[in-house]
Parts: sequence; C-alpha cells; structure tokens
Amino acid sequence: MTLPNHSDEPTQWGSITNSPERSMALTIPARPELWGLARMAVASIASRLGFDFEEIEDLRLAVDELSMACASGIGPDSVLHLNCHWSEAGLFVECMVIPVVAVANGEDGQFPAGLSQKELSESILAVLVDAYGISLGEGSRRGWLRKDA
Amino acid sequence: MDAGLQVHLEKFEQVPVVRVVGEVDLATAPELQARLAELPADGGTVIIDLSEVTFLDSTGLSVLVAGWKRLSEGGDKASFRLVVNRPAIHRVLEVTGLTHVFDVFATLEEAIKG
Repeated sequence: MTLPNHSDEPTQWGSITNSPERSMALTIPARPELWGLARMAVASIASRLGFDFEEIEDLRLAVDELSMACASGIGPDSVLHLNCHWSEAGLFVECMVIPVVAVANGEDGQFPAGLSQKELSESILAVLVDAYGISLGEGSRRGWLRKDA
Repeated sequence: MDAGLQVHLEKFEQVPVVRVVGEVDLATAPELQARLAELPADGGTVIIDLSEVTFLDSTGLSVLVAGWKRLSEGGDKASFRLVVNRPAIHRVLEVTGLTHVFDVFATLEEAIKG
C-alpha cells in the first residue's frame, strides 16, 4: 500500500505508509447502502485516535461526501477502496473507485446557489477537514482527506 | 448495512409534520423525496422534524431543497420549519447556508409556534 502523494500531505505520513498497525483497508461494492461501513470504520479509528465527538461526526460526514464524490454516477458493479492511515499527526483517508460502467449522474443544480452535487460535497468537505482532494478520471476516481489531530 | 429510514407524515395542530427517523444518505434519500412529494404544493407551512435523524448528508439536503422548491411552485413560497437538536445535523445545515433558507428550531413545540 502506498500513501497518496500530495503537496498537502504532511511529511510524517510517509513514515507510517507501511505500518500495518496504523493503517486500514476496506474494499466494498460501491453501492450507497454500504457506505455506512466506511463511515463506521473511519469513526471507529477516529475515536481511538482521541478525536472528540464533533470531530468524529465531521469525519463520518466527510467520508460519506468523499465516497459520493468519487462514486457518483458509476455502475453498480464498481468497487470502492478505502485506505486509512494514521499517526499522532492525525488521520488520512483515501478513497478510490474503479468504475465498471458509468451511468448518468443524479439531479444536479438543486441547491439554491445552483451547486452541483459534487460542488456541494466539496463545499462541505472544505469545512469539515483540514485538507482534501478529488480527482475524477475516466479510468479511476480518487479522493482523499486529511484531519489533523 | 443500510441503517434504514422511516418517514412519517403527521399533522400537529393542522400543520403538516414530516417526522424523519434514521440516516438520510444517498441510499435512503429517495424515500424522503417520495414522501415529500405526497405533500400538496400549496405554499403553506411544513414542519420537517429531523430530531430523530442521526445522519444527514448532501443528498438529504438536496432532497429537502427540492421538496421546498416544489411546494413553492403554487405561488406563495412554502415555509419549511426544521426541527434539529443534533449538533452534527445543525452543523451541516450551517456550512451549506441552509440555516438562511429554512427556519430551524430545537423542538417541535417551538416549530409549531413559529
């Protein structure tokens, strides 16, 4: 497992990349009814890391929005990979989706400001976590977030 | 894995109350959307009781906004009064600016009084 490389990634993350005691991988079908597993897993880790209740709630929502941003409009046979890494510095979560067949996105522009679902997810992520990134390619979709301790 | 969602349409002192119980996410939001569609688009006041909602993400927010827009189609703007007592739910409404769109109350009784 390799840690995502990004300019916002703190250097200390590199030292825990291969530490099985400080990482967790979850692979599930990319179906929304299963994303609760991702929320639960991240909340459990965050709790053990000493994040307070509000921060854990923020992380639950952030992971959900990240999953949605990465998996929106993909086919039902796609798979979502969630990788978590942590240290004293905080928690890093990476979400990767390999779309099998892309399907049409849901309704967009429902929001008062005309935001799309992805834009709405990003606006929420921007408030809830310390850093995040989303990259939607045709072959794969990847998002990550970082919550500092 | 789905924690499930229950949506109850009730009336309290002649005001429609939509009582939502459970987690509102991409998997369950269509249920809320379907129940909101049962309300008449007469521009009146509707109370959305989210006090038993344990999780609300952007798809749930989109459904609330879409429902509010549909109920406002009749001419007068519909008034959505939200009952929210969980800080995490209040927070997501705040960060998306929806506390400026909907009236938010801590209890059903307060929402009834307006």
